[in-house]
Amino acid sequence: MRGQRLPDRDHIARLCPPKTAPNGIITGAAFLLKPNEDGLSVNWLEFLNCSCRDNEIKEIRGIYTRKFNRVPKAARIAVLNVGTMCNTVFEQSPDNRRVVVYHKPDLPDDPSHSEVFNLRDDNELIAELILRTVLEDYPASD
Amino acid sequence: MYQIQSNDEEFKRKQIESIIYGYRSLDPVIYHEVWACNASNQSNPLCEWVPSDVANNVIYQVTAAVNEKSYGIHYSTAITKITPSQLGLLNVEDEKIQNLIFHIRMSSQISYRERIAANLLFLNDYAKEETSESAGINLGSLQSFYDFIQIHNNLKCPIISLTPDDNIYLSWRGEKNRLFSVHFLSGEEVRFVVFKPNDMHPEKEDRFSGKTTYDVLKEAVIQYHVWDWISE
Repeated sequence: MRGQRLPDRDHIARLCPPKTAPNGIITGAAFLLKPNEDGLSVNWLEFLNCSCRDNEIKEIRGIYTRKFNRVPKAARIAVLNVGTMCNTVFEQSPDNRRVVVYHKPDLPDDPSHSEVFNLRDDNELIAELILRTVLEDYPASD
Repeated sequence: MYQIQSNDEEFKRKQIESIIYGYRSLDPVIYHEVWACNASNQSNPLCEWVPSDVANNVIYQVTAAVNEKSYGIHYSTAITKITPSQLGLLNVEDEKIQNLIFHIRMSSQISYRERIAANLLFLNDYAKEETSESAGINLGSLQSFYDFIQIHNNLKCPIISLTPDDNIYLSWRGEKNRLFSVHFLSGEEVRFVVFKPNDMHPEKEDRFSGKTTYDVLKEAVIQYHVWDWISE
């Protein structure tokens, strides 16, 4: 069930497994949906209520470890601004796609879990546009 | 299935890491042994079953692994003792995947074959690690990619990644935010994305996407002059 829509000023983190970030280079494949997925899984950083980005990333790493048991060393965390991502996709996609991000907590391990909606699994162009709005990326494990 | 007759001393010797820089192997013996054997019998090139003739027919698995380091491509071998019950886990599809990667590595007409094969091995391992159900790279996608790079052997080395459903996803990134990405689907079809500066207004960007088959991809994007900057 969808919760609150994330404000444009807030930020999200996307776990990019090594197969989508070879040699640490994140590709558009990291923002493609699996055929059975409704939304692209992300984490709402401001929800974590941390004092700085470094602390947010530490918190996110902890969430991934608890949720997935083991996070590959070569996985990356991509950080994006919600408004920049949504506006870029709207302005630059051929169909003026309006992607939206909703809070969708995955309790108990992942209360900041959110999803990007209005994507399709054949949206390589949208995935490449989203990739362009990545602000920074970090290793997904210490 | 090919079997290497060996003894424990030889296993110890084989456990010494072999490092390959480009085409030069510092320990060519094991690789020549394994690769050459496979070239002749078409069995799995990267996964050999090795019975010991001194250890009561204990079966060992020799697996070629690849690690990319800052100074080059680093290959090593790992020898793992396995039980007969694990023999059943040998997956036919996995063998085909390994064979295709081997053929890429051995195809002299493929540019960057060593690097591409090494990257594919990484990706295959990562895909299998991610979920226990994954057989690794989607075989149909890999086959199309293999056929594609055989047809187009003068391309710059792309960034190779896998989609969530383990299909091959290639990306070339060029100057002025040029981008060409190709998603090899499980059949012969591909979906592609092109970002390029507008010919008349270079400050503006043109963006295209489409679907075709891998064998006519070049023709499908010819109007966007993609091959001009992804070729060498």
